[in-house]
Amino acid sequence: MEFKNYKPENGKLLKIYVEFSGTKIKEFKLRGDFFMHPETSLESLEEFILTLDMSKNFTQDLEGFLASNQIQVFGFKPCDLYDFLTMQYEG
Amino acid sequence: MKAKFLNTGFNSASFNFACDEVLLDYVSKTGIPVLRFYGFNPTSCTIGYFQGMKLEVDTQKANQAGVECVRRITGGGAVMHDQNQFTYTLILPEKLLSQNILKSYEQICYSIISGLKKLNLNAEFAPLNDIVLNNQKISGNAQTRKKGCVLQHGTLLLDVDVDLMFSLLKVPDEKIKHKLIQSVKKRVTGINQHLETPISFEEISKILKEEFLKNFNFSEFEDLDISEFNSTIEKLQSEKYSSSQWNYKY
Repeated sequence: MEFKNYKPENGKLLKIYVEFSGTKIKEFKLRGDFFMHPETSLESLEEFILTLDMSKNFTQDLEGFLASNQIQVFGFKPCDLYDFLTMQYEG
Repeated sequence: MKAKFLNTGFNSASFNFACDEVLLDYVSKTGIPVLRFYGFNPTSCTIGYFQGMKLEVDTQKANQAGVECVRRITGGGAVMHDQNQFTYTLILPEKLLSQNILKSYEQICYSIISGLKKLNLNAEFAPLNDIVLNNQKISGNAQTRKKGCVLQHGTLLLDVDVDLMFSLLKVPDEKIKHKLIQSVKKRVTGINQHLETPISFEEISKILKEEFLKNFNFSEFEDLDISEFNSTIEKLQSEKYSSSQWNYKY
């Protein structure tokens, strides 16, 4: 499993594993030196990302998920994940 | 309000994090804040909650060198802990701190900063979780909120061995490792490099204990006897912080 490094501007160093199936994300693992409160939210965030579609409201849906589950993240923003995934998807 | 204090000396990373977690339970049950000072022996590598051990640490080299590798309950980055560092954990009921996580980091770090001012060191808070001196990092801090409490632990570098650090911690790009080490040497420093006479763990402990007392308006510190928690700490140390299931989860 190869993780790719991505450091958003003013963010923490993310290490991401991703596999696509069309515009959907088939596998997604997020690691890094970021902070997430509560910490146990990581798995649910990873699972939620698998329900998203790159061609539809990815960032807004992810922002909504974090807000509705009262998850606070320091070190990256939903748009950073979208930017990284877009690069991987197109690359 | 009274608070409890304990100095547990130098212990392994698995002991230190088991101790933190047991004390978190204590604060959650009693509502009494606890401040603990400690160090790491043997040298250890700790990783943040969301990091993968094998992504961050050369575990083979660490094992050969007798370096313990442990995952924290807090986020943040990989850290090498040797005996030239001072470490603290402060645990408080959440209501005693700002609900704003960014602000609460600064509230807690202020005691380190004001203590360093007593040594004529003009350290500054560097959001989110660092303290810098002349733009060089001297302290990293990490926080979690659980069971109605805030637990923040942090390391203050008295001296720093960047070469040893990079022999154990993995760097993103091996091709630029040398350049990266030079760059980190410029960005990280120990406070003893900036003092005429090096300060010891005991001396900095005395200064910072007073600062935490003053800045949090505690009426006094009462000593907390660690021995009453020994069996619980041992159990947690062995079952969680020494286990592959926890340390290699990601």
